Amino acid sequence: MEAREEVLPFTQKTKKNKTLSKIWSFRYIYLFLLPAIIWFLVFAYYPMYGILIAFKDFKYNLGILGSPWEGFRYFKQFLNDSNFYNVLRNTLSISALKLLFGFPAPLVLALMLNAITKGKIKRAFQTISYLPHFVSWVVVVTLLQKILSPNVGLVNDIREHMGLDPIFFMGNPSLFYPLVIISDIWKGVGWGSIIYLAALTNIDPHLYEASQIDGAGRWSTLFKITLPCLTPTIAILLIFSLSGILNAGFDQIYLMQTPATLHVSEILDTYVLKTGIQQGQFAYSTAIGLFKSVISLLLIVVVNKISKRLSDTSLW
Amino acid sequence: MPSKKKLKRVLGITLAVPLLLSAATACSSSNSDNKSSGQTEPSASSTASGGNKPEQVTVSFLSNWNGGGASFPQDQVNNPVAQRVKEVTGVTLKLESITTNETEKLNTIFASDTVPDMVNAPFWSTTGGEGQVIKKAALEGQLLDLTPYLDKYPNVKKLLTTGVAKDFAEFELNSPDLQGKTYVIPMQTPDGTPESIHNWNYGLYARGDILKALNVNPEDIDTEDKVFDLLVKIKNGNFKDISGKPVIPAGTMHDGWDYGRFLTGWSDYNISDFRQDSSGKLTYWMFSKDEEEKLLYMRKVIANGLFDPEAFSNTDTMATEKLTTGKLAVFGAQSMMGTLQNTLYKTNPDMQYELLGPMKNKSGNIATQVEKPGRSGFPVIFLSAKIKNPDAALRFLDYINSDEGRLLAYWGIEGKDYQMVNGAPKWIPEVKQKYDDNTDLKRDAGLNYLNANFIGGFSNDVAWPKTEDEKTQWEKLENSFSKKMPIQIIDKVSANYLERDWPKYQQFRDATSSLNYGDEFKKALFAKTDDQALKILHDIQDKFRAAGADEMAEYVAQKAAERNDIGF
Repeated sequence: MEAREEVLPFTQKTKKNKTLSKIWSFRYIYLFLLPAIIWFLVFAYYPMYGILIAFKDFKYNLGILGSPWEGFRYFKQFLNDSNFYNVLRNTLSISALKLLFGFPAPLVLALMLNAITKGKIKRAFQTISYLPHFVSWVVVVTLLQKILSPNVGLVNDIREHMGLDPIFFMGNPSLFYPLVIISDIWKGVGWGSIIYLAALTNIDPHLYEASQIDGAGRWSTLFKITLPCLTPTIAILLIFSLSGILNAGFDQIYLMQTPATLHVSEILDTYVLKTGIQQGQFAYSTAIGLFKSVISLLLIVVVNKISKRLSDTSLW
Repeated sequence: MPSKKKLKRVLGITLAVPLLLSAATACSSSNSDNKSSGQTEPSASSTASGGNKPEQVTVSFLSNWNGGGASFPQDQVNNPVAQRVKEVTGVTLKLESITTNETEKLNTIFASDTVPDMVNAPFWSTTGGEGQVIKKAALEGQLLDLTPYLDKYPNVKKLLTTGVAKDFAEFELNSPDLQGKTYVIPMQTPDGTPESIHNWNYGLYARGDILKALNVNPEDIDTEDKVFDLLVKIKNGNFKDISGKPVIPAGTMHDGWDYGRFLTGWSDYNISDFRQDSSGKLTYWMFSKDEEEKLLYMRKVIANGLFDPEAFSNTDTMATEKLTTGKLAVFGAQSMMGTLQNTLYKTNPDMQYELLGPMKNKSGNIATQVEKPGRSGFPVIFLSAKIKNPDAALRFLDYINSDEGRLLAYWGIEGKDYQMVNGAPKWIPEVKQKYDDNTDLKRDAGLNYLNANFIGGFSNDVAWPKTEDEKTQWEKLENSFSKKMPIQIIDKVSANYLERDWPKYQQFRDATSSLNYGDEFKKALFAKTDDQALKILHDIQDKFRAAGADEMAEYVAQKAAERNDIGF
C-alpha cells in the first residue's frame, strides 16, 4: 500500500505537468477562452448564491446570507398557488408549440438555402433571414402592435376597406399562440439555420457524388444522405431545446401580453417578474425560478440519456 | 513557420485583450463618471473665496413616477433656477425619472441597493403598492431616519403635519411599526385650508366638435346609460381624427388610466374599503353587487366596439399619440390640459375637449374627488440610508419650502421673470406672454420641476391668487372644470385603519398578497361570454372570502360601532 501511495503522487504530478504544458502550448487558444470563462464566472456562477433567497425570508438590511431561513415554505406556497397550474400549462403549451413548429423551421430553411446553387442569391437570402435575429423583441412586438392594431393597424385598415370589422389580434386569446409562434419563427429561423448550414458543409461531398452515380434523385439524397449526416446535430439541438422547454420566451411573451390574453399568456418567467419585481416577493419569485431550473436540469439529464441510448449522440 | 507563429501570437493577443477588457469593464461600475450619491464635490468657488459659499454637493434625485420627467428642464444644471438653488444651498440636482411601473422601480432600487440620494415616490398607503414597499425598505434599513435632523430644518419639519389627514398621520406616517422614526416627507399636500386641496378634475371629457355636430349638450350626459348612447352615436357618426382616420369612441390614457371614470355611477363618497348597505351591514368593497354591474356595463361598451380595446395595454407614448391626434372622442382621466394645450388645442382648437356631466354617483350626487380635511396619501420624499451628505439634501428641501424658495420655484428670478407688486409676485408681461405661448420654455427655464417634486404644505393658488386677467385660457378652462366638480370633504377616520387590529390581519394579507383583483377584473372584461366573465369575478372574490375578508368586515363593523368618528 505504501509503495502505491508513493507512486500515485508521482503519476498525478506527471499528469499535471503534461496538462500544464499542453495548456501552455495552446496558450493563445486558452486566451481566447478566458473572456468567456470570466463572463460565466461573473454573470452565471457568482450570482448563483442568490438562489439562497428561495429558502430565506429576504430582508434588505440582512442581505442574502444574513436573512433568516424559511426552508421550503415558498416552494410549498407556489405548489398551492391558485395560478400554479395555469402558469405551468401555459409555459408548457407555448414551449411545446415552439418546439413543434419552431424547431424544424431552421432545418428546413438550411436545406432550402443549401439547395440554392447561385452564390449571390444564396448570400442575399441568408442575410435577409439572419437580420430579424438582431432586432430586439421590443421592436418586433411594437411593429406587430402597429401592424395589427384595431385602430391604426395596416391589417385592419385593409379589412375595413373590404367592409370587414376590425379584429383586436393582440387581445384575442385564440390568436395569441399563433402570433407567438409565427413571430418567433420569423425572428429566429435564419439564425437557427446557421448551425445546420455549417453541418451541411461538413458532409463528405463524395457521398453526394456516389449517390449521383447510383442515380439517386433529390429526395432520396435528402433522406438517405443529408438528413442521416445531420442527425447528430439535430439530436444535440433537440436536447438543448427540450431542456429549455420551460423557457417559453420571457421578453416576447411579456411584451405581447394584454389583460385580455393573460389567462393564456402568463408563463413562469412573467409570473416570476410580477411576483418578484412588481410585488416585491423576492423569495417567492426566486423559488419559482429555482423550481424551473431544477426541472430543466432534470430534463436535460433524462433527454441526454435517452439520446445516448437511441442515437449514440449526447452532450456528455 | 516562425513568422506564422508570431502572426498567430499577435492576432491572438489583439483579439483576446479587448475581449478581456470588455468583459472586465462590464463588471465594473462607472465610478469615474459618477459624482452622485451625495458626494461632496470640491468646489472651486468655495476654495477661491475661502469657503464662504455653501458646500457644493451633487445630489442624485429620482422622480419615481411614470412620466415624472415631464417637468424636468432640458438643461438640469445651467437653467437660471437651478443656478440660483446652487448659489443659495450649494446643491446641484442630478435628475432622473421613470417611464415604467412605480412599484417595480422601487422594488428594483431597494433589492439592488441602488437607491438614489433622494426619491419622490407615491405613498398612498403602507398596506399596499408603493407605500408598502417604502415602509418595508424603511424598516429594513434602506431609508434614512430623518428624526435627528428635523429640528435643524423647520420648513421640512412643518411638512410632516401640514395638510396631512389626521388618521393618515397616525396610522401611516407614524405607524407604531416605525417606532417613532420619520422616514418620509409629504409632498403636494395642501396648506391646511380646504381651498388649498388640489382638484385633479378626474372626469369624462368629450371632443367639443363632435358634441356640437351631434347637437349634444355635455352637461346632459351624466349617467352611464347616457354615456353609452352618446358613444353609439359617435360610432355611427363617422367622425375622424386629425389625420382623417376614424375616431375611437372612448378610451383612456396609459394602462387603462382611468377607465373607472366610465363607472362612476356605482361609486359613492367613500373613504375606506368597506361599504355599508341600507340595513347597515358592512361588506368588503369587492363583494358589492356593484362589481358585477360595473363589469357587465364595461363589457357591453367593449363588445359594441365603443371602447379602445388597446386601452389597457397602451404605453404612455401610445396613449399620448391617440390623445393629441384627436383619436379619442371621449376619454376618462384628468383633463390632460398640460399635454393638449401644446398639441391638439394648437393645431385643431375646434376639437377642444369638454367635460361631460359631471357624472352622477349611485346616490345621485356629483361623482367627484373625496378628501379629508388633510390629504390621505400623497407623493413623499425619502433619503437613501447611504446618502453621504443628508444635510445638503435637507438644506435644499428646507430652502425650497421657504418663502424665498417657493417664489423661486413658481416664479423664477425677480426682475427677470417677475416683479413684486404690493407684496405679491407679478409676471413681467413679455415673459408671461412667452411662457403662455410655449409652456416648454417655462419648463426649460426651470419653473416646473421644483414645485412639481419638492414642495408640500402649500398652494400657490391660495398664496398668490390670480385675477381672471392673469389666467391663461387653459387655466380658466381647468378652473371651470373644478367648479363643476367641487371637492367633497369628509372629516372622519377611515374604517381601513380598524382592520389592522384584527387578530388575523397578517394572515389575511399573506393569503391575498399574490391576488390581483384589478387584473382579474380586466381579464373578465375580455372573457368570451358574460357567464365566463362573472365566473372570473366570482373566483377572485371567493379567494378573498376564503382569506377571511367577510370576517374582517365583521370585525371592522364591530369596532366602528364603538366610536363615532369612523367613515366608510
